[in-house]
Amino acid sequence: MIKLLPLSGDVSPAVRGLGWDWALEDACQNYVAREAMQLPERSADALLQATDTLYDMLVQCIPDPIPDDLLRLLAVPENLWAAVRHSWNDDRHWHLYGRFDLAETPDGPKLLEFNADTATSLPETAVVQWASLVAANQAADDRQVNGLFEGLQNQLAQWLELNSDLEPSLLLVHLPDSAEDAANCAVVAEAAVEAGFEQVHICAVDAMQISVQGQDRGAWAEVEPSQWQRFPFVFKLVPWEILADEEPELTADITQLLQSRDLIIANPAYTLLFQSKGILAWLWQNFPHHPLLLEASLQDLPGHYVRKPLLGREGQNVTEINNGQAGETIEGEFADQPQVRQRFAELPQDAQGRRYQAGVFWAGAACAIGFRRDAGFITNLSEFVPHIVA
Amino acid sequence: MNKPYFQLGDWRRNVLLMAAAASLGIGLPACSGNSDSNSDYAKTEGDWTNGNNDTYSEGVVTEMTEVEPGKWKITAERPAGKEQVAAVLKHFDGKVDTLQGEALQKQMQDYSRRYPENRVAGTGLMDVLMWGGIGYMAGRFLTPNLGAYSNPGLVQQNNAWRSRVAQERSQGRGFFGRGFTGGRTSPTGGIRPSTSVTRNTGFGSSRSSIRSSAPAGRSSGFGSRGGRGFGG
Repeated sequence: MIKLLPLSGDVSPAVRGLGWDWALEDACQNYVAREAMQLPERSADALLQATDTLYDMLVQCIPDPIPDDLLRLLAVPENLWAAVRHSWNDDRHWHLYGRFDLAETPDGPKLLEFNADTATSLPETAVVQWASLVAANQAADDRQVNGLFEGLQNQLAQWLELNSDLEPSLLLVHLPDSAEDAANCAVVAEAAVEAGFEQVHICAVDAMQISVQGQDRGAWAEVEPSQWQRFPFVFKLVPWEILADEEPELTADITQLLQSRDLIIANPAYTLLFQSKGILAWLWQNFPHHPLLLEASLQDLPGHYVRKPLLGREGQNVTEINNGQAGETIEGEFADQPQVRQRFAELPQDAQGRRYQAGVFWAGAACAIGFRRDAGFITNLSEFVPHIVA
Repeated sequence: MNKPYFQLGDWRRNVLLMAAAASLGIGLPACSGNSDSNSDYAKTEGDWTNGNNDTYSEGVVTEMTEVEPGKWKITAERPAGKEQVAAVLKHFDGKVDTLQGEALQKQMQDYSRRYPENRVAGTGLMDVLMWGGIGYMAGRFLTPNLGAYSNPGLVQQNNAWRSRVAQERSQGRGFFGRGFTGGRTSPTGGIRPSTSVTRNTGFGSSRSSIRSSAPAGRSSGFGSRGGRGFGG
């Protein structure tokens, strides 16, 4: 049973002070819970250890060279295959971070999925959950599993060092009109400055200009009126498969720039291998009955399981199936995709029957934990719950 | 395995937590140290949430590091809430403290009396502090001095913040920090602004990676998606 600690105090000055009003908007009024989950240190250790082990397993299970069949099985768009292979084969393409969504079961943590490409909830995890406890006057020696900023900083410093032949300028792009995604980019930008990048600039992805011509080859953005700057480093909070599907010509240009080292992008295209939920079936095949995995397959399973689109996002089109009967489902725009089936895992509950899912951030190693809760499936709208190590 | 367990009181470890802490009033003089001063805190809090529109709508928190004895650099800087102005000082011996409120105001007043213009080559604590966001708000310079910062990205990062301050200054708003003394009638909190400081940032002047117009190329058109993000 999940134990909760009510939080008094008002975190909103800290959130507004950072310009993250989206986290307080009416639609998200209860987005950050006014309670903290009491997380036993033993459970926290188990989640962190599971994350490190799972990342190693992911890397191990990708054959070298990457076979076409695997790319097909994972539903990686064909126009990304070159970028996926190129980034996988060249270690300078550095996976900065991702978030493992884990279920804490009586048999230990189980992998639900890995948000390897465009994981969000950075501001909530790195700052807001800390500020929630401080605003509530929790003791200064109370602890939280929260090394996210430092983890990002270390990874960004490593990325920069691996690519020291490139000018240390980083452009961070997000899908247009999303204050939330812009704030996620802002956290990475702060960490990048601390990591040694000399210039950082955040803008909507549509404002990024990709040129493949002569001297102008590269990614450009207008940093001040009538001043365009070339950025060799790009951090994109835009899913690779959406880029490939909706902007195929741009994707081709970007791939060309990656191959000619005019551009380096994080997270790299190969993270789509891990992001695809097809990897859950592939992992089960490579590590059958591994204690951190739930049984998964691209075919129907007997009994109680969950079906999800391979490249779905935010919980869309996830369906619970029990003995052939469809149960709870979430509407969405990914219904046409191939689907993976994964054994149903019950999430731990609190006294009110709300379910808790752990999001463990990996940035070179497991570095921070945040929780989401909901009465039903966990989606991007589920409440974020701060934690305190008990 | 990493053990990334951090104490809540360990907030000086990164600039985002410092900014959030400042917004929550942590480490500010009226409430530092002991909880008995909560009544003072409430009073001060009341003062600056009374909606005084004559001061800048934003403040700034600057982190400064003593990289060699007596030689300071700005190592982080973040916009903060209205009238939230502070410098977190990381001394060479590892000690960390915070300069803010009346103590900060007095040091700035003394410095501005002594030096009508900021000292370009100075590396002392106040020389460098006056070249940071706090000095900018007090009208001590117009163009940043990159030499005061540990890297130029720190300056670049707050371009938008500086232009908002400049715009508000042109509308008649002034500098005032939480814990400062005197009224808000002085536009610079009793600190003498500089009259003529302009310096070249050196940014972008000689780089081939700069153009005055967009290069020929391609961009995406996600704007038509309907205004939502798609993170996971």
